[in-house]
Amino acid sequence: MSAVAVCLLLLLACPFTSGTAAHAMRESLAGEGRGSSRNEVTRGGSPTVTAEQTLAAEETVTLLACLESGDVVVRAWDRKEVRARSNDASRIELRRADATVEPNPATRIEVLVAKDETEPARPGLCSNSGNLELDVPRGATVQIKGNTGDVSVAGVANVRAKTLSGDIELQRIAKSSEAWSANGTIVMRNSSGSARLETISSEIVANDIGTDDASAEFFAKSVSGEISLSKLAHTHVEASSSNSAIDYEGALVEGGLYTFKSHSGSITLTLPADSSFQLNAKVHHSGEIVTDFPIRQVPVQVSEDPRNNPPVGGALLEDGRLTGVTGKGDKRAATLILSSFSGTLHLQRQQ
Amino acid sequence: METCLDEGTLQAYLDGELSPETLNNVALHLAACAACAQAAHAAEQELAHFNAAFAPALSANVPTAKLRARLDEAIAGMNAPQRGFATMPAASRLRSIYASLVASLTTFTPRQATAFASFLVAVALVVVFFALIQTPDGQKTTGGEVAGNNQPSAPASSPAAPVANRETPDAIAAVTASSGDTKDKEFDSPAPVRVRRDDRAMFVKAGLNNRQPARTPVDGGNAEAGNTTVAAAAKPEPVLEDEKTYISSIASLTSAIEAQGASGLTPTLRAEYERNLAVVNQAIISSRVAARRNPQDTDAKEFLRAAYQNKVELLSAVADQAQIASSRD
Repeated sequence: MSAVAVCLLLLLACPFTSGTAAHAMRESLAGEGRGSSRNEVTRGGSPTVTAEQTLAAEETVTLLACLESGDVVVRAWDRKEVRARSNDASRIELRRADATVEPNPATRIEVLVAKDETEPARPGLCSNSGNLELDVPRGATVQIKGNTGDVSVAGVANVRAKTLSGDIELQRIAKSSEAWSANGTIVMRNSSGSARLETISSEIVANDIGTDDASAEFFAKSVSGEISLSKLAHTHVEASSSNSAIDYEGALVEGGLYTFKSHSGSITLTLPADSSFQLNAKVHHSGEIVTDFPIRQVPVQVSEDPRNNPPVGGALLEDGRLTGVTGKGDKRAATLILSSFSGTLHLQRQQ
Repeated sequence: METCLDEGTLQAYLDGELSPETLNNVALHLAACAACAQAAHAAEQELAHFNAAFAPALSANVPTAKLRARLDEAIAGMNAPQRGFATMPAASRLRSIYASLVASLTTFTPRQATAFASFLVAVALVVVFFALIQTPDGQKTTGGEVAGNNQPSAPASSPAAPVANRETPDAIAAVTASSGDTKDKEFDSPAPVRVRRDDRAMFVKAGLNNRQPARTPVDGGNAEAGNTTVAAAAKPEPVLEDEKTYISSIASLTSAIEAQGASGLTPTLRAEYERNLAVVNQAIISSRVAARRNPQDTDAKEFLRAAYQNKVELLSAVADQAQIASSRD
């Protein structure tokens, strides 16, 4: 009895902490408010859950949420239901956005949040809300649109996130990720599958992204934000920036195609010393090409797809272009296409 | 060899006051003409210098009051030994003041004399400036000096008469094009003012200085003719096959943003957008110049295409946000 009381007190005191124990307790107590909202009382000045709703859902449910303000945290769990909680909204509604009806689990859910109890729900429009915490099945597809608040998504299958100035953090995404932010940083870690990350003026960081799908692509683009990539397992990696730096660090995938383009920013690749690749690098207007790797001249090799694989070989140095191979340079070698209008291209060995 | 854009058109372009069609032509020209791009960039700096230089003279009270105080002080000092000054007749007092002024000029320290001379020069410039902008059309301009085209000058006209009744269509076109669609309402002049390049530069700069809202064409015919003239002056050759599509998209997005207003954006975000817009504009200019130098340079074309794409995406983001903000309001 006393243990239950302690658990309840802990739950009320820190419902939004990310600690494992607190999260486990919240999960163990989940489902109490299924299908209805509930209010809880603040204890000791800590934030509390002011609204909550739970709805049965398919494992592959698609969840939609659009918030004018406030942070969004999405986590995956093993239950086939969606739970939405807020610490400052007065009402949350998990509205079915499909043709299913109860008691069938929902396949598509829209999260509607209202700050004021009297505020009408606005399906299809962004909610004027506070912070939102969502627990969803692991196979879920999450589509979040935010404004100034941050978005954090972890453990789901697919995610599409868009913010104006809020940061986006993606972790352990299983299949595919799309993130766009005008002025927020995008960070993606420990995930797999295809990824498309775009920002206008903030940084993009991607680290340790694997994939089992040979066709999965990794794409990153910014206008003036730096792009830092490391340990990507994709066979097709593309990054471009108008005037900021692009950094890549890690081993190259056999047969992989890496395309990095920058107008005026530098491009730096830090690769293992035993890397084997074909290189097609060009600085167009100014800048320079600096390489720690010995580049050998090879006969011209015309690719089947000249758009993605421009000819490698021929003259080693010609008109700002450096082409050749390093390592074995066989068919298993990766292909690096580096291009900058006025930035520096740097190939350096990993220490 | 393309004719460079006149200053008025450049200024109107920077202000976002051109019609979409004219904007297309000017943007195309700017992308190709490094000199014009540089001139556009320099225009704002010139304006800042202009404002700084004329601020003392244009702000009516501050220097005048200071000078008057100094003069009064000097006069009081010089007349301190004199008795009965207040009781002197008005004419005598004026003569006395005049004599004191002349005397004080001769007794100024070199520094004071320099300051006074600077003030006189500034006042003279202001007088000339206002005299020029308020001079009726045809009385100050000379034939063949209309900026941006080589058409003969229009006949002199009465400022009170409607434009369409006073001048031939060609002349109207010349006037409109050369004035960059500016409207002399800003200076309380009832008719379009055809001015020479230098004069009009002052005109437009002063308009910026006054932070006037977007100018409207004098009439539809004038605006259309003006656009045609500008287009004829620019005549840029597209470097990319789809360049016109890009430019058209950019013009549409720009118009949409202007129509909706960007007030919904936070100042920080607006600043970010503007900074990034400058980045992509610079990328467009540099890669376009390279592509024009060597039309066989596929890399330069790719860079240009990427830069255009970036600009379209950037403006789309701004337009989206502006639309959201306006719907919210």
